[in-house]
Amino acid sequence: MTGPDAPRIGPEEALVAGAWLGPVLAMLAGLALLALLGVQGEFLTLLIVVALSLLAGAPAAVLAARRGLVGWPLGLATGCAGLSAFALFHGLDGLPVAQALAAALASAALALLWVGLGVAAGFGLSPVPGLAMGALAGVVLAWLIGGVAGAFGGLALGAALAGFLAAMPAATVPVRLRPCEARALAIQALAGLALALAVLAGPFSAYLLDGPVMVVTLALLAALPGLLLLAASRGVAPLALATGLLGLQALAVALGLVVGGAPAAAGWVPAEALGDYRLALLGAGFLPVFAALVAALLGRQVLGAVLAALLLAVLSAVLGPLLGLVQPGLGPFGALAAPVLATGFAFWLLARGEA
Amino acid sequence: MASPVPPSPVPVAGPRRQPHALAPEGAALILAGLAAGQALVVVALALGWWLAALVLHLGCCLALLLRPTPRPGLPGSAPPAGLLRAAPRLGEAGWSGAVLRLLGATLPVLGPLAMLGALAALALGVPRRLRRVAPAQPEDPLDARLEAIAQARELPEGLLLESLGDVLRWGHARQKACALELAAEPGRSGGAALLRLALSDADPAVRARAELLRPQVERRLLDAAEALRAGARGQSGAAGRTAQRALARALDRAAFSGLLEPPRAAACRAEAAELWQALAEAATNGGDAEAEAALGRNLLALGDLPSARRALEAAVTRGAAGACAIGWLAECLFRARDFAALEALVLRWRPLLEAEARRAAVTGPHAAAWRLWLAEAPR
Repeated sequence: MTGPDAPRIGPEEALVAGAWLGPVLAMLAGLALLALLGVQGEFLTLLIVVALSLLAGAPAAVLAARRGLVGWPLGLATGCAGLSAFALFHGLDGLPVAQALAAALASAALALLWVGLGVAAGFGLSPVPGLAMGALAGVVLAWLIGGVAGAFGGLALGAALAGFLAAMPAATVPVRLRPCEARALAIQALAGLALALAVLAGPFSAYLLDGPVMVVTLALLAALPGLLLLAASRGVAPLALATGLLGLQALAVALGLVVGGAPAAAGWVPAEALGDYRLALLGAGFLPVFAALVAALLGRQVLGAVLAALLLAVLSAVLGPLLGLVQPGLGPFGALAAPVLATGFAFWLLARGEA
Repeated sequence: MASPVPPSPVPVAGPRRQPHALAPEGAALILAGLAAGQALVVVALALGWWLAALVLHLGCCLALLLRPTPRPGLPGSAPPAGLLRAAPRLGEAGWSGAVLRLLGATLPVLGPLAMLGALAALALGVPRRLRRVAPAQPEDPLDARLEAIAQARELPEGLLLESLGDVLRWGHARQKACALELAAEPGRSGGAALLRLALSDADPAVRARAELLRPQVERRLLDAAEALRAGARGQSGAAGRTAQRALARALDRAAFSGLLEPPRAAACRAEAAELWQALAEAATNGGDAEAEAALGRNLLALGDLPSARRALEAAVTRGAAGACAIGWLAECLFRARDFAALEALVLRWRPLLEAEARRAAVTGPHAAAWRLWLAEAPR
């Protein structure tokens, strides 16, 4: 692992870690805003808003981080996120225009935020001042408007403000693209999409199959320390980083298991799903390691990163139901097996590339 | 270069405007208009007039997309193609332009939120961290060279000619204009040669600019000769001869600068020829090689080949005139079609000419011709 290019400064670690960190933190912020305004039962709307923004924004964010490209990908991402969210909420769910508009704006603004964070990762700049400013403005607006529209409007304002400020450095450097780069750019965008799918596949397969969405989503919290460390790490050799992350995550998961009763006591997780929650927690412990390996792959062979992320997406979506079909009690083990298998695959890809 | 040139269609007079299509005030104006429009959109949204808000918002988007953009291909409007990441342009204009660019991608969907972000970005200005991450754009070496020349008042002629010639060759329009201005400055005696080069430049804008600067240099050369003439008028004896010599040199400089109108140049040459003739005749023991060589050169330029040949042969025989006089004599013999004498000249001065062809391999006016003759002449 000590090749000539081993200590590599790259935005990939922050980028890949951000694919999990961003949505989780956005969910937390949105839930906090909803709780602040006393709104109940909008968890799924928030999840859909974040998911749409991630699906649309992740490809643009990868392009922004790795090529400094903002412009039409950003416009396309915000447009897709906003219009699809508005169509979904107003057209399908029949929400009133004010609420649907606020939710759509929140989705588009989150897409802008992902791109902005990608730019910050690529330029090595800190997005924290912008985030703090956005959070403050968002809370004030949410408090002024109130209700569901207020919560989503506040989220939208905060994300838009932070995202715009974070994306500004890339806008000072207009990028000229050559036609021969189209294929490379498409693969980069594909990597972003695969990452978004890998993040979203678990919760959404649970949602579509009437599984315990809350269990899968809450378990992601156990991955936060490792992901934060990964986002902050620069120039550490990938396998050493993965090893360190494994140790850290073991601690985090152990802590999660110790306080495992708390979510059930708070009523977030049904008491009978506590076993499933523990399995999901164990699985989520592998996510930072997987992210570190995918980040290393993204820096060396983008196609490998696409394959690994897609594998995680497919496994998270399919493995649990398949195991459930084989034997009814085995279903929850999918949440553990999918990250482990995907991490193994990513490790194999990376080791193969090194050899 | 000598014929009067019609007024050039290229706008060359006066200091050039920087080719930014969008001045900082323009960007600020557009941003202010967009902010006002988006404030109206917010009001319409608050009142629940969805259609009015939509129409207003679409109007804002249209105004943003149809704004005047910097034209590509002009210096300073875009980073060089092929560079993935040029250094950011972080001036005030660059920052507001970047805000507008990002607004163009985000305003259509985010509307007032993007506008607020843009206003916040404008208010906060360029992040200090970004200034540190992106060092200032490296200076254009030609600009640096022009600045250095402008500051150095005393510069050897050859160096000035070479430096400004580089700028004329590689620089862009503004730099070329600046180089010509420098060359036409009163204190730069070497600038006349550059102007003569510029008069036959491939770039029509450079030709027009040089043609515009030519009359003032011409007037200055003639004025210098006139001043010397006034000084030489009342003197006699040794002082008079010194003054005459200075006047003749000034006349030569003006006549052979290539910047004078042909009749004036011919008049200068005739006057200089008379002066040199007088000086050569007044010379006592050993003769005056400089006067004879200069006389021959002037007569050669005036077309009096036999007299020129006599004067130059006298100068060359004295041996003090150097390779230049031999070159003029060779030219004279060539134009008189006396090739036998030319070959004899080459044979006679072979060591000197070989050294000259080697020394001034690139820059000497006759080096290439010498090399050819030396190669052809029998040893």
